[in-house]
Amino acid sequence: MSLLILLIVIWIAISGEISLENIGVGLVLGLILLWAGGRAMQVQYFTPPTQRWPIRFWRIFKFSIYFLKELIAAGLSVFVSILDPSRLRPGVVAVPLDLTSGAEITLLANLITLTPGTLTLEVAQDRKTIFVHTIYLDDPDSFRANIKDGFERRIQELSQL
Amino acid sequence: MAVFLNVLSFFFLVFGAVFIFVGGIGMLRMPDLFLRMSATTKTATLGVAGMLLGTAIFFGELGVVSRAFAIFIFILATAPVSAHMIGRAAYSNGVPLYEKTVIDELREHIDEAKLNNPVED
Amino acid sequence: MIAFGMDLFDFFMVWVIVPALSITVVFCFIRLVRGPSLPDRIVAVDKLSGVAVGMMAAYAVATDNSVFLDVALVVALITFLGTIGFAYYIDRRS
Repeated sequence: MSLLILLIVIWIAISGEISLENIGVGLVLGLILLWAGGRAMQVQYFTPPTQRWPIRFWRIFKFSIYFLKELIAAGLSVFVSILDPSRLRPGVVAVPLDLTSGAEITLLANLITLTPGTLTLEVAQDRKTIFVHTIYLDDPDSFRANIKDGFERRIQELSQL
Repeated sequence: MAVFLNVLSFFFLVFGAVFIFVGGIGMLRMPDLFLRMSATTKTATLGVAGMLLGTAIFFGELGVVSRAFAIFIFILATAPVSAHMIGRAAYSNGVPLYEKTVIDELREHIDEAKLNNPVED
Repeated sequence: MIAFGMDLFDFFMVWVIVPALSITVVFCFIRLVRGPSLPDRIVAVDKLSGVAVGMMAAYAVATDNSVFLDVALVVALITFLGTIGFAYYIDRRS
C-alpha cells in the first residue's frame, strides 16, 4: 500500500504537475507495476519498524545530511587528486562487515561507491567481507576503522528504526 | 531577489560544468581503469547534480523542480550500481591495476579460495 | 549586467559552461578510441551520458524551455540499462 503511494508520487514527480488525471494515471500504472512485480515485492527486505514515524523521518533526514556532507568533501578531494596525480596511492582493502541483511549491505556498498575516491569491487560469498578500492590509502587499518565508524555505524542506527 | 536567484543558479551550473570537466581530465590522466572509474563516475554524479540544481533554481516551477529532483535521485540510485558492475566484471576479467597500488587484498582472497577448492569456476 | 559586450549570464554560458562540456565530450571520445580494454570504453560511454544530461540541463536554461529535462530523464534511464547490459556481457564472456 505504501509502495503504491510511493509509485504515484514518483509518477507525479516525473510528469511534473499535480492534477486529478495524473493521480489517476499514476494509480493505474502503480497497480500494473505492483501486479507485474508480484512476488518480488512481497519479500521482507527490512526489519519492520518499531519507532514512530517522526523519529524515523528525523533519522533518515540526519543520515542524508551526513551523506551529502561526505559526498561534497570527498568530491573536492578527488578534484585535487585529479589535478595532482603524483599523490595517488591506490589500494584494495578488505573491510569486515557487521551488517547482515542483504538490504543493509547493498546500501553500504552503494554509499561507498557514491562517495568519490572509493569503489566497491566485490562482496565475498559468505557476506562477511567487502572489498573496497580507494585512490588514496594511508594505512589500511585506519581506512577500515573510518568506514566502520562512519557509514556502517550509521546504517546500523538507521536499520534499528 | 530574482537577480540573486539567477546568480545562484548560474553559480551551480558553472560548478557542475567545472566538475564534469575535471572528471574528463581525470579520465584522460588517470593510470588505470579503477582510478579512472573513481575519478569519472563520481565527479559526473556530483557535476550533474550541481547542474540540475542550477536548472531547478533557474526555473523555480514545481514541475521542473520535481523533475530535476527525480533525475537526481535516479542518477544517485543507478550510478553506484553500474560502477560496481563494471568494476567487478573488469576485475574478474583481469584488467591490470596501477603498478603503484599499495595492497590488493582481494587478489589474496581469490587465491585463497582457489587454493581451497581448485575445481571452482 | 553587461560584461565583455554581452549579458553576464550569456557570457558564462558561452565561455564557461558549454566549452567545458564540449571539451569533456572530446576527452570521452579520446578515451573511447584509445581505451586499452573494453571496460575503459564502457566507462567512457557512461561518462558521455552524464555529460549529455548536463548539456541538456544547460540547454534548457539557455533556451528557457523545460521540455529538455524530460529528454535528460529518458537518457539517464536508458544509459543505465545499456551499461548494466555491457557489464553483464563482460562478466559472462570470460
